[in-house]
Amino acid sequence: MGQPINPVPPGGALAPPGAPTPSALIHTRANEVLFAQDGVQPPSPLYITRDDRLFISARNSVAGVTLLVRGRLMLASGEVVIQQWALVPTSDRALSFIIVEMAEGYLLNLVAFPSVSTARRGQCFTQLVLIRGGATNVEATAQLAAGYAVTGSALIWPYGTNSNPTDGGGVMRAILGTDPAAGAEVVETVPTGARWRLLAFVAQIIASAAPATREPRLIIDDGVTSAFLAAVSNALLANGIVQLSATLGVNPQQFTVSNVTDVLPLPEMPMLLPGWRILTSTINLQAGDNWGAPNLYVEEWIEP
Amino acid sequence: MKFECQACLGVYISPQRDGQAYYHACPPLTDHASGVQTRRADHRDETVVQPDPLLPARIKSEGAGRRALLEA
Repeated sequence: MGQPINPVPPGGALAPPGAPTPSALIHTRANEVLFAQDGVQPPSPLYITRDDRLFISARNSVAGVTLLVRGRLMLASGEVVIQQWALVPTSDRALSFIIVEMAEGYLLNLVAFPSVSTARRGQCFTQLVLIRGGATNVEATAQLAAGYAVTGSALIWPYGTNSNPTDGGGVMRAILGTDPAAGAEVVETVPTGARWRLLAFVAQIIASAAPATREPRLIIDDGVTSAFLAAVSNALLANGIVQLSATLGVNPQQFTVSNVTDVLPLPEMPMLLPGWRILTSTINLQAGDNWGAPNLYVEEWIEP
Repeated sequence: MKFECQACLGVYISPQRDGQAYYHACPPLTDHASGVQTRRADHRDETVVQPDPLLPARIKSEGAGRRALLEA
């Protein structure tokens, strides 16, 4: 191997002094996709006629919520206007709605969110639907958005989701039930418009001095037919106290410290529909026996 | 607020601590001699019904009513 001809030092060779600098070639390429800038179609697939109306509805369980809905509409003139509507739904999960007129044009987007009060997932199920007709003859033509309006996360159209009220997680609730009078059982009823997943139940019974062998039981029924029944492992005698505690994923067991606590298992998927009940049924319940107010821990959804 | 049902004398709180309303429904009446349970004649059931969506919902059964209790 001989010496290379005109060896180039590391870093490249410098042009000799006085020599012209060679011109550089710039390699560029124009975009291949071109966009029209004049006379273009509106950026929305949703043309609103004068006969279309927006049906804004909610089933809500939290007091004091105002549902705000805002939309951007491109008028025939090309002007983009903002419209806003407010629905104050009742807190009893009944259907609340308003029907609003929109101008002719292209609907660009909608956003719905709760204001005034905080609403969590599982509390304010909202639907935005295009309709024809009025309150007495609603004819839905397009559902734009459906889902929970949640504080901090708006329900949107387009690019939002259309979900059912029982999709995903619900709101976690700790409920203090009715403290029944002496001699009466505990009965808790799933409210109208709600679906519960019972996660835990606790209640206490204090037996009167009347001699009897009581057997406290926990029942889940649909108002008529029992779907689940569990009983404490030992009888409750006069002047005794039993705390009945039921939850998921446990084996029946009993603890005794100052009082007796009976732990009972619940069904794995204790989904309860409106009108279903969680109740006690105590064999040999005496007139002076006194159940206390139960505590329930539930996951709750809107159930239309 | 705390209420006492005038039918069953059960005591309950509505709205609850989380701000949601509580819907009381009376337990059945128990005959302590026989153990037989029957529906109270003045049964109160606050769960709501809305047969017509154009009208406000109402409670199922007013029964004997309720009274507000002073809270400690």
